[in-house]
Amino acid sequence: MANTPSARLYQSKSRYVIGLMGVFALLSLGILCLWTLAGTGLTTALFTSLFHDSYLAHVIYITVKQSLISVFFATIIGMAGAIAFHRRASFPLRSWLLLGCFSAMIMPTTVAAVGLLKLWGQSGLIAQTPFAIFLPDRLGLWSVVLAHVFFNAPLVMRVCLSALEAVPLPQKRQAALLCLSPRDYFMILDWPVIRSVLPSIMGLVFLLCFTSFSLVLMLGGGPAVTTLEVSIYTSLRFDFNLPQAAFLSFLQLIICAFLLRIFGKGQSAATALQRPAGHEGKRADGRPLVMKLIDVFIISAIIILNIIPIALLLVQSDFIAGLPLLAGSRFWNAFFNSVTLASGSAAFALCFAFILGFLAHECRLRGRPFLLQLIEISHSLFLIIPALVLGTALFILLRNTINLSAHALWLLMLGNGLLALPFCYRIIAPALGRHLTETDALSAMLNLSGGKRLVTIILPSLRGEIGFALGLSAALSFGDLGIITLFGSQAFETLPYLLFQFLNRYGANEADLLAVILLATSIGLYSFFIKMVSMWGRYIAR
Amino acid sequence: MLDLKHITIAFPEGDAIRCDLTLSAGEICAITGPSGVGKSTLLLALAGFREVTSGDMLWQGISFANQAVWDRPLSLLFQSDNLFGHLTAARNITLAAEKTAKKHEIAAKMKVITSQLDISDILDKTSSALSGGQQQRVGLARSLMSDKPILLLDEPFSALDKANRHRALQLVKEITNAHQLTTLIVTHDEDDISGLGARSLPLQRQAL
Repeated sequence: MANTPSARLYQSKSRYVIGLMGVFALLSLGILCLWTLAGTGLTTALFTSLFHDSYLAHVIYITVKQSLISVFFATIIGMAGAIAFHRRASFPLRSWLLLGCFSAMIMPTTVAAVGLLKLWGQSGLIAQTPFAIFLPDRLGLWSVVLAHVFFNAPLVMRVCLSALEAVPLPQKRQAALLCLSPRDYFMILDWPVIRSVLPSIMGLVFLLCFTSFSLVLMLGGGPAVTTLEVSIYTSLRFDFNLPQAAFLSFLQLIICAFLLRIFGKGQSAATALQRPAGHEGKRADGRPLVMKLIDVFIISAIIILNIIPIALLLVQSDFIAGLPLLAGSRFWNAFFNSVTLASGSAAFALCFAFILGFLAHECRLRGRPFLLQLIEISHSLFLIIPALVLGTALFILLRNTINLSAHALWLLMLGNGLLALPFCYRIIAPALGRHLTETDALSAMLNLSGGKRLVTIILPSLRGEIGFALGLSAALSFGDLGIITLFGSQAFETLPYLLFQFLNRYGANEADLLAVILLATSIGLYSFFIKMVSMWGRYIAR
Repeated sequence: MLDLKHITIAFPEGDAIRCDLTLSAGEICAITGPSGVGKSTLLLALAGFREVTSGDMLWQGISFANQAVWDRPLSLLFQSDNLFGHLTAARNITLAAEKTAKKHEIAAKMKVITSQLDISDILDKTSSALSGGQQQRVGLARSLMSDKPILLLDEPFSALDKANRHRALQLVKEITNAHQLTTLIVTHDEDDISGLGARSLPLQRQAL
């Protein structure tokens, strides 16, 4: 197709130039951040400390340890959950339970932390039962692991369930006709597809746990349980040791890039962003009583892990005591900032996803494989740069140029938008590429091009993907407690930041109320964008 | 004897297909009709993958309409994806008998069936490495291994070229005779029906 006469007919110089500018801007920003970190942090003294500083060794050890334990439990629970839910296709409340589990993908970490403390904390529900003897004295490491499993087991479950549901229907039917035993069903149908997605999803979960920040900050309980991200934060915020913060950021970045290279994160992230398909009929391996008991046990464990903490947050909290918070301007300022930030970041990420998506199509038309690789690098760069590392780079880069707290909103919008870009691109670009390939000839015949084609044909056709990308980006940005910890101040707060402040000051009632508002608004924003774009698309199509 | 009594399968569009049929062992019936009429749906309903609105289905006078998919006296072959791609052809075939027969019995039976279907030399290959025609013959071998008396074929040879399809249909005719199977096959092609010497069951949608 590349550079054939018909391909030349479909090329557009303007979207090619805009795309090139977009890639250039993203790459420049990424390189500038790396350059800043390297310039500030890569000193011989700090590099030597890597081998002699026992605290740094401890931080790396704890970061790796909690990540490995979290990956282990998240994988086992997620895999078992996927098989149990797949086996029980007609299980009552199945779709509601799955929705509850998958909502962890858009749930703010601060909300989850409050909910988990309600169940597992020292004054939580389990501590008041005879099972309290099984709880460790100090939660520390285990509360971090628990929170990571809360977030990542559903992710593993979603990827594995999608893989299980992608098995061709005739094969599932043959398995039913052959009445395969549970062992045979697992070995012949389940395990081959799960094995194919497991390395990449385990790698992704390891990366997410390795770069975890807000959960460790809230639940870690002090320096004994810390991660590189938290160390970057303390170096910058409390010690104001810029070289050390930059050095740790660089170290973190190298490890993340290395992990991404090994595990191939993109593939599993893309799988996780797909909605699971339908499922037909009963599985023959679900008949034995022992299998029914195993599935009941697994599904109950998932309910305890993922649904009950949030249910407790809704049921046990004394919202009335927290209500005075709503009367003050502090809450409303934070709320307004959060909504503005979420909307702005989502719009930013979507715009760049389209710019890069159009350029990718141009590259295919023009036969530019190298440029295609540059596009991949330009957005994947922000997948390996953790939020706090990006924030640190921006902080060091701009602190002498502008008043950081006065421009916090714009910086956060840029930072969160960049962090949402890889997800947005993976939702938009494949659908956009397919759509353009299918409609290039027809649009050329009808002389539809430029803005008219974009507004009347392309955007309405992709309304499902646009709504999902906007909703997901907005929800991720709304609940983020990453970069805001560096730029936040009394003058500029967001809801997660405010919640974090109340948690630190034992403002439990206010924190509970804020957690519920955060949760409701996250889900609201996610649903609003999906609904709004869908309605708009239908309106245009009339 | 297979007896389909007043079978009705309703569709969401508000119409239905109806079917009354009696077939003896060794007989082949070709289900015909325009695309989308519900030929495959009828086979799926017989196999238990789709609900029947009314009517009954009996084998040797005993109803199997309420039995689980795996307990019904039939095997079903689809157009594609009948085999588990990462398993060898041999393992795909023996899967059907592992629960009910001993190892040496399975080996002996497989030897007879695979030589009859001319697939003895491909048993060690993984299924994904086989051609379309070979895959369908392995599927047929598995159906024979299961000892189920009814064979349902949902356009299993439509992806093959004419010569291979002709050979495959001859094979179906031979094994139906040799194993005294009751075979129902979905097909569009009049030549297939005459080649098989099959009875024809034309389907059409009717208002409910």
